[in-house]
Amino acid sequence: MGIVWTKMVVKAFYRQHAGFFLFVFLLFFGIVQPSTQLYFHYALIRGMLEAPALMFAVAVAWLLYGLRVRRFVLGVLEGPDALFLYKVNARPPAGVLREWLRVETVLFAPVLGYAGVVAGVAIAQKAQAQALGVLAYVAGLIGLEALEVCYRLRYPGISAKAGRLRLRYRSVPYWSILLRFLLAENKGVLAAVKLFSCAILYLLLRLQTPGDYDLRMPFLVYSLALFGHGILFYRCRQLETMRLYFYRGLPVPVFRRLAQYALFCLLLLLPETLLLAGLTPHPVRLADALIFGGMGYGLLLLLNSLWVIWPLSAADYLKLCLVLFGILYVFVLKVWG
Amino acid sequence: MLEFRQVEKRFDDRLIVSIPDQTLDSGIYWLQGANGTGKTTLLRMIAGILPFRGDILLQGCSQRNNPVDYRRIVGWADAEPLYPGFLTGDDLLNFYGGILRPEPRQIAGLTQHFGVRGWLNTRVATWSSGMTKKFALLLAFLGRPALVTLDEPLITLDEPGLTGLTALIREYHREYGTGFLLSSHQPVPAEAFPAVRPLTFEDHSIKVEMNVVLN
Repeated sequence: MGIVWTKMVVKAFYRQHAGFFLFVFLLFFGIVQPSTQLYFHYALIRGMLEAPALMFAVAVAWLLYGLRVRRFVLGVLEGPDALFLYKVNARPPAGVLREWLRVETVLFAPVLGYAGVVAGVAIAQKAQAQALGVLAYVAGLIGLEALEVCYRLRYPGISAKAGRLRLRYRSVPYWSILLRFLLAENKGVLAAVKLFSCAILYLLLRLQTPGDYDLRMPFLVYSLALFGHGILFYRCRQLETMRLYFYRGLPVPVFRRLAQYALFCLLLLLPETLLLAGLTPHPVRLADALIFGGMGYGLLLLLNSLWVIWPLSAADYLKLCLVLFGILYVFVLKVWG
Repeated sequence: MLEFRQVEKRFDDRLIVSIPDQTLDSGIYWLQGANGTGKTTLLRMIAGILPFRGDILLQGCSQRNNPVDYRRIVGWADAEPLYPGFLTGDDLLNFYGGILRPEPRQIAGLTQHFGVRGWLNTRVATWSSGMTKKFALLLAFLGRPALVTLDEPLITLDEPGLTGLTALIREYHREYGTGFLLSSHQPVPAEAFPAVRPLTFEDHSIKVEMNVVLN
C-alpha cells in the first residue's frame, strides 16, 4: 500500500505545491546576501525563541501548512478515483496508522526540517523545554492528521458528518451560503487571506506616530492585501456557476440580489473593521480610519462586481486587478500626497 | 400560455435556439430531440437561467419586463442537478422557502411524496444522484408554478420515485392547471400521462404536432 500512498498523495502534493515551495525558498534565502545567510537565520531563530509573539506566528504558519496538507490528503481520498482504497480496511488499524505516520512525516518534511533546526538552536541555548515544545507541536500535527486520515478511511460516512462545520439557520439567505462555502471548503485560503490582511494592517498602522504620520504606504500595502480577496471571490464565482446556478431562476429582485453581495462583502471585512476600530483614534485618526474602511469595502464590492458583471477568466481578472492597483497607486502618490 | 417572441440564443457565433413567434397552450409536453440540439438550453431559457434575445411570456407575464413575477410562476429541475455539498436538504428547502413562500403544508406533502424526509438533515455531499434528483424535482414543484420544466426527469429515479413523479404531474395538472414541459430520451410512459403532447426540437426551433396525443 505504501507505493500507492506515495504516488497518490506524496508525489502529487509536492508536484502541485512546487511553486509555493519555490516562493518560500526565495523568501527565506533570496532576500539576504549569501555570506550573511547563516547569521540571518540564526538571528531569526533566536528571535523566535526569545519573543513568544514571533513563535506564536510561526506556530500559526505551521498550522496553516498542516491544514493545507490535510485538505489535500482528504481531497485525494474523497475523490472518485480513490474508491478502491476501502480495501485498506482489511488491514489492522495499527499498521495503517504506522503507514500514515510515515506519509504525513514526508508531507511535513519542510516544516519538520526547520523545526529540527529551531530545536537544535534551542538546545544550544540551553532551552531544552522549548526544543521539546517545538518538536512536540509538529509531531502532534503529524499524529493528529494521521489519526484523522485513518479514521476517515475506516468510517468514511461518520467522519465526514462529524467533521463538518454545523451552522444552523432558520432562514437561509444567499450571503450565508457564500460565507459557509468559504468556511466549509476554503478554510485555509480564507485564514491565509485574512491573517495576511489583518497582520499588514496592524503592523503598518502601529508604526505611525504623531511625529511621523504618513498613511500613504500603509494604504497601498493594505490595498494589495485586499486585492488578495480576489481569490475568495473567484472561488465563490466558481461555486455560483457550478452549483448555485439555480439561484438565477428564482424570483429575487435585482436590488435584493445585490444586497446579498453587499452584506457578504461587509461580513468578509469584519476582522479588518474591528481591527481599525481598535486602532482608532491612536495611532490612526478617525478620518483616516474611515477612509481605510470605506476604501476596503468599496474595493471588495468592486472586485466581486467584476465577476458578477463579466464572465472573466482568472488571467483576465488578475490583469484587471493589476490595472486597478496601478490606478490606486497613482491616486495615492499623486493626489493624496 | 407559453409565448415565444423572436427568441434567439447563440453560444459565441453558433445558433442554438431560434423561435420567431410561437404559442403553446397549457398542457403536458414531451420535448424530443437529438443530443446536442439545444433542449437543455431551451428549458434553461424558459426557466430564466440563461439570457437570450427576444422575450418569453408565461400567462401573459413577460420574462424581460417582469423578471421576478415571471420566475415566481415557473419551476425548473435540471437533468443532473448540483448543489453545494455542505448544505443540507433542510437548508435547501429553507432557502427556496424563504424566496417562494410556499405553504408549509405543501412542503410537508412534497417531502412525504418524494420520500426524502429522512434526508433533510443530511448533507448534499452524502446523497446519491437519485436522492439529489428527487430534491431537485421537489424544489421545482414548490410554490404555485404555472409551468414546470423538467429536464430528463425520468433518469436516475427508482421505480417508486418514477411512479410518484408521474402521479404528482397528473395531480398538479388536474388540480392547479400546471403546465409541464418534459425533455426525455426515454419513451414517456403513455399510460402515466394523459394527453401528453410531443414537441419536436429541430432546426433550432420547436414544432408542435397539434393533433397527436401519445396515448
